[in-house]
Amino acid sequence: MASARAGLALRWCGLLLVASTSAGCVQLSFEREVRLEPVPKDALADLVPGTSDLGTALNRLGPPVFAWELPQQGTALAWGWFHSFGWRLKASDSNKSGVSVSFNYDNAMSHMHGAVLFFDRDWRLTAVREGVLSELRNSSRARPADVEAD
Amino acid sequence: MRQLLLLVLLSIALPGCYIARQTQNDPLHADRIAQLVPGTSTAAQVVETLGAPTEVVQLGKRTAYRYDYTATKDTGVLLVVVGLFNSDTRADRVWVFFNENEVLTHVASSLHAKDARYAMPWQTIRSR
Repeated sequence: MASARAGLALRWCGLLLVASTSAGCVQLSFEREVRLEPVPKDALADLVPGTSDLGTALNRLGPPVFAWELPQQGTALAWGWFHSFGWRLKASDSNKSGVSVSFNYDNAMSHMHGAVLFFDRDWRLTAVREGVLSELRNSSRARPADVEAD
Repeated sequence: MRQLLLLVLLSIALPGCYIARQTQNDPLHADRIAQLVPGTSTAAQVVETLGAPTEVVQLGKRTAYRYDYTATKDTGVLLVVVGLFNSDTRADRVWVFFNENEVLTHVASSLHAKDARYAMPWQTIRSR
């Protein structure tokens, strides 16, 4: 009986030792991350292409997260947010553990869901698209026009 | 002896937990934003009031400036090889739009950086 207990204790100690020594190279983590606020669906539904303009969009949705130029002096404005949670198994790397703690507008778009509003040169809303912002941007982004050209 | 062993095991099993707060850029102030008047304020006046923008976007002959202040609050619990993490990022953000004469036409702002919260990894953070 005593030897069975000792064996069990030994196994637990061994398991803990292995876990302790491998903690630097393998980690099972549960990560929850929230960035910014969700796009208000009801406000988005109120915006009507051909009728709504930039002022209306800003009043309903607040400031966008991103903006970029479109051909024919159009503009795209994007509203988005990010929420993820789940388990991950990480192998050793040189990055600090945990979720990304530095919010960066340049790379935030790749994971954000939201809406992109397209405006013509007179700031009239022409279209609304919803989805992953980076995909919506890649399908619409244009090289900036030469400001010196007429 | 048993208590000592328990203490040793706990000290190995709970190497750390943390809370952290990070911010980027300077906070935005509602009273300064309120000084911006569409149709009147110029780009120079906007910069004088809010400072240098985080980003300048060229929109044909027009421009738009983005100002932002971001706050992130993180919590983490480390249990040997198991880590539990939570991160909440909120932002103060202002966009100002100018016409080709660099006169302000539209301004929009939201101040949510103060809403960033610490939470345990199993807690859902809801928007306020």
